[in-house]
Amino acid sequence: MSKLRIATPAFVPDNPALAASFSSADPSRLKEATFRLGVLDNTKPNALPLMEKIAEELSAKGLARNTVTAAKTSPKFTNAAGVEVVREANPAGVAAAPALLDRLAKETDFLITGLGN
Amino acid sequence: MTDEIGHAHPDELADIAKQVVAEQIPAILDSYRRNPAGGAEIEPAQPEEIAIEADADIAVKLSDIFVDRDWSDGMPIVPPTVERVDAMLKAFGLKGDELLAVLPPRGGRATAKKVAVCAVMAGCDAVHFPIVAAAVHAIAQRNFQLYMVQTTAHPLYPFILVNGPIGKKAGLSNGHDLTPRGWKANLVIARALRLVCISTAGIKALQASHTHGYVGYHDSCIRENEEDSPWEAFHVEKGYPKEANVVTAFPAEPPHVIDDRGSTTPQSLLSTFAMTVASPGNRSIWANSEQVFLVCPEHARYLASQNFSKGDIKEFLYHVARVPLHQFPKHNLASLAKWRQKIFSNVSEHVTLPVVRSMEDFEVVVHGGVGPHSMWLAGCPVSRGVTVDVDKLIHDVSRKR
Repeated sequence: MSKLRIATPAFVPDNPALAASFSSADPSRLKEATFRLGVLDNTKPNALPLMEKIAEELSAKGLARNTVTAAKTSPKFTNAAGVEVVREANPAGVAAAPALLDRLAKETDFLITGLGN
Repeated sequence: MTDEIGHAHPDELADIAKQVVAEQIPAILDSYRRNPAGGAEIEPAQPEEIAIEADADIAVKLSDIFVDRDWSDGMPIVPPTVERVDAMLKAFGLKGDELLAVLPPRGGRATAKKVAVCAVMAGCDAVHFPIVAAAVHAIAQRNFQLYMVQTTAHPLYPFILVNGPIGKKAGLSNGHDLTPRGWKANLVIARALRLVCISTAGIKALQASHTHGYVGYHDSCIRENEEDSPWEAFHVEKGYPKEANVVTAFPAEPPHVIDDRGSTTPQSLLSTFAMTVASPGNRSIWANSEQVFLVCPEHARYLASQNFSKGDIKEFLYHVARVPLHQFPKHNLASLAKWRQKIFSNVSEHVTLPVVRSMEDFEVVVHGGVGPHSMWLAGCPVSRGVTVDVDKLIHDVSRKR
């Protein structure tokens, strides 16, 4: 029986390196028993309170040795221990600025963020 | 249980956090630490082409394969054979590698070929392809904010308006008889765009974020009823020649009917419009967005007979479509005041909030057939409708190749 050639609509990343970076990481970052934790607030009401509790749990278990918190569009970095997170607008559905992601990549080893509320 | 809608109870969050730290984060860490190559598995590249035996069950088998691979929406597909896809591209002098858009959230390349594959899958004929291509290009423009539309919990989807001769040529219904029977061109164009938005953009079946999914997206392509409109067409209002072929993509919620069969003045009819959209549940009150009215010919003819232009309608709605603070449920108002404290705290309950911040945020399109039923589509905060000249787009992308 003859075979038909079928074209597919399959996803092709415009930036393969960027796409690969979503599913790979430098393992040396996580070799040590503790890591620098990042919290990226998507500004939804439940997200930051939940992620702060996760950060507290990770610190209590001795996994996170430092926590850096940032809001998606915030130009400012703040410490989860106390400094206020800047909110310029409600950018929950807008991607974080590349510069912010670059800084988080440098200053943290493990990042948690929220999807929706 | 939570005491405030949208805000989980702290105990609930603490339980979730404990579970995440006990189960999910160790699994993620273990995955990275076990893999000497670094991190979790990289998603393998997906095939550009597959081969399947041409037996009598090919349509069913292929539909299942496409669903399993997150390439389809669950409905049966027309097999996108290489020959069918090439024929669609050839009809417009395209090779297939022309880039129409890069689609968020994962940055998928929507080339002419990928769009043609989706168009064939959806059941499009060649005449529908330029409309699908223009819609894909429109939703990828910055003002549309497709990233938000694709990832927010707010139920939104691209609503496509077609103006100019291409709409009729493509067989698009202008509203009358669009439902319940359905109309091929409207259905297949809307479905093709949806397929592009999920498969080519790289969204997997379990990654949908909308609270209610995409209710009604299969009916989300229309052409303006220019024949029965007493006003200039939408694209003419936006500065295009009447003969131009134009596609506009609105980031929209599912439509809502506005029924008025009794008004005896234009102000009364438009007050029905205004009171329908001016409610505390309209998200635009909180965060400004476009409001599109699909005005039925009966309402449009009446308004025009009373010398109401589109501009008059927008001005009337801007002044009248407002919600007094005292109409907000008490606790919802408290939440509003908390969210925008500087603006809404300590103000009189007689203050009214406009539905939109500019009268230009109201759009008027004539659509539909017989009957006193207009429709309204609320938009998406931050996003705006985007208009694309179809012929110019096809010309430009084929030249850039």
